[in-house]
Amino acid sequence: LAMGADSAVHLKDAGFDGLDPLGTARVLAAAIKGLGADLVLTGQQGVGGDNSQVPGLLAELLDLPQVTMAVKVEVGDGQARVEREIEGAREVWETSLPAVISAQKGLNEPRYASLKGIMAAKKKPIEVKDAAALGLDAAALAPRATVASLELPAARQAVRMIEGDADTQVRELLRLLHEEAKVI
Amino acid sequence: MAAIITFAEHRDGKLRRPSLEAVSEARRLAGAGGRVESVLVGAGADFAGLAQELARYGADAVHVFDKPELAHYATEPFARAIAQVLTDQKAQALLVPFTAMGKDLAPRVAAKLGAGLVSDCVSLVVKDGRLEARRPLYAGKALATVRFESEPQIATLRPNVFALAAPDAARTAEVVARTVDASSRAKVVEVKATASGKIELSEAQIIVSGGRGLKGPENFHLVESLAQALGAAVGASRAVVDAGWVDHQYQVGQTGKTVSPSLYVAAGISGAIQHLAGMSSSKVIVAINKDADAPIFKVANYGLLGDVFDILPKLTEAAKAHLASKQ
Repeated sequence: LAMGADSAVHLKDAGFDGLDPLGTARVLAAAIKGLGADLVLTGQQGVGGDNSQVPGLLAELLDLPQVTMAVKVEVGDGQARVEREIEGAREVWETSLPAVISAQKGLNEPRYASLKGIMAAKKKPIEVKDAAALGLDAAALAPRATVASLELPAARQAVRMIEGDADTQVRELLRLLHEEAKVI
Repeated sequence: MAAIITFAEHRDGKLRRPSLEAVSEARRLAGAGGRVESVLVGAGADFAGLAQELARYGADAVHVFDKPELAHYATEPFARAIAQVLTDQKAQALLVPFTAMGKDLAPRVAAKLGAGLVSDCVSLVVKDGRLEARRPLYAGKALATVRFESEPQIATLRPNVFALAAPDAARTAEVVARTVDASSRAKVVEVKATASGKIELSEAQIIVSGGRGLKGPENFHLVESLAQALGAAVGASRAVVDAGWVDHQYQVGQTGKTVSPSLYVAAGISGAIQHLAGMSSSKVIVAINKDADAPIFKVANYGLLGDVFDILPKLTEAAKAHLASKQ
C-alpha cells in the first residue's frame, strides 16, 4: 500500500497454512474472480519453494492468457506487449487483456516507499477474507503433493586447496581437472 | 505404473537435451515392460525423425501435433495438446523439462487437470505405485522428498541432472498424428536472439563465472577469455549484473539461471547462498578467490586461494596449451 497500491485484500485462514501451489492459486482465483481485473501481475516464484507455478496455475483457473518471466511490459488498449527471457533469446509476445503476467528480475527497479506513501497507506482499506468467504472448502485446498521429509543436501567432499604460486596452482589445477575429475 | 507421458521440447529441428533426459527417466521409472509416450508440438519439423530419436531413448509412442499455427510456442494450445494426450492415454504421470518453456507450460496443464505438480525435481522414484520426487528447497539449503497424493502426477525435471539412457538403435515408436485447437490469446510476435553464437548457459557443460572480485567491468574480459579458451559459457554473480557489468541473461543464481555443468569455475565470487542455489548441482566446482573464508570454498572441489588478476590470465594460457596438445 505504501508503494502505491490503492487497496488490499488479506486472504487469511488457518486452512491456508500448508497450501500447495494449486491450493494457493485456487485461493487467489476465488478472490480475484469478482474484481474485474484488466491485468493480474505476479512475481515469478516464491523464495521458499521456487516453484514458478502460481502464475500459470492462476491464469488457467481464471481462464486468462499468460506471459511469464516478463522483463519488459508495455500496456496498450486491451492488449499488452511483453518481452520474456528464454534460453539464449528474448521472446516478444502480444497478449489480449485481461491477462496474467509474472515478473522476472529486471522488469523494473522497485520504488522505495516514500514517507508520504507510508502515511497514506495507514488510511487505505484492507479487506480480510477467509476460506468460507471465498467459497472454498477443505477438499478444494487439499494439497496434491506433500513434503514427506526434509534433509540437508549431501555434503560435498571437502575442498582440495591447491597450493603454490599462481603458475604452480594453474598447472596443478589443469592436471587434476584432466586426470582426476576428467572434465576437460 | 500406468503410462508415463513426456513432453519433448525441440528447437531448430533438434530435440533439446532435457527432452531426452525426460524420456530416459520415464523409461527408467516405467521399467522394461512399462509404457512411455512422448508429445511433440510444432510445425514443419522432421517429426518422424524426432519421434524415432525419442524411441531410441525409450518412447513406445510419440504423439505429434503438427500445424502451421503451432510454429511458435504458445501456452494455451500446447497445454491443450498435452492434457489431451494425458487424458486419452489415461496416463498416470507427466514429465516435463524445467526449462523456460516447461516452467510456463506445466502449471497450465496441472491446473487444467487438477493435478499435483512438483517443480525442479533432481530425482524420482516409484513408491507404492506413485511417484516420489526429491527437489531442492530454500535456495538449495534443504532437499525435500515430496509425495504425490493424487493422479495424474506432473514433475518438472531440472536440466542436466538426469542421465541419458544408452540409446537403443533397435527401438522404434509408433507415431500418432493428432490435432488440437491452436487458438491462443497470447502469441509470440518476435524472437530476439541474445547470445548469438555464444554457448547458452543452461546447456553448457563448462561455465566460467565472474563476480565482484573482478573489481570492475573493464576486467570482465579475463573471465570471457578463460571461457573462450575452455569452450565454455560465461556466467556472472548477481552483484555484477546489478552493477551493470553484464546483462541479466548471464546471471547464475536463484533469480538468474540454475545450471548443472560438468565444470563450474567461480572467479572472484564469494558464494552467497542465492548464487550457490544456482550452481551447486555442478559436477565439479573450482573456486578462485583471495578470501580464505569465502563460502564458495565450502562447495568447491578444488580451491585456488589467490589473486584472480594473476591466476586467470595464466589459467587461460595454460588451458589453450592443454587443449591444443590434445588435438
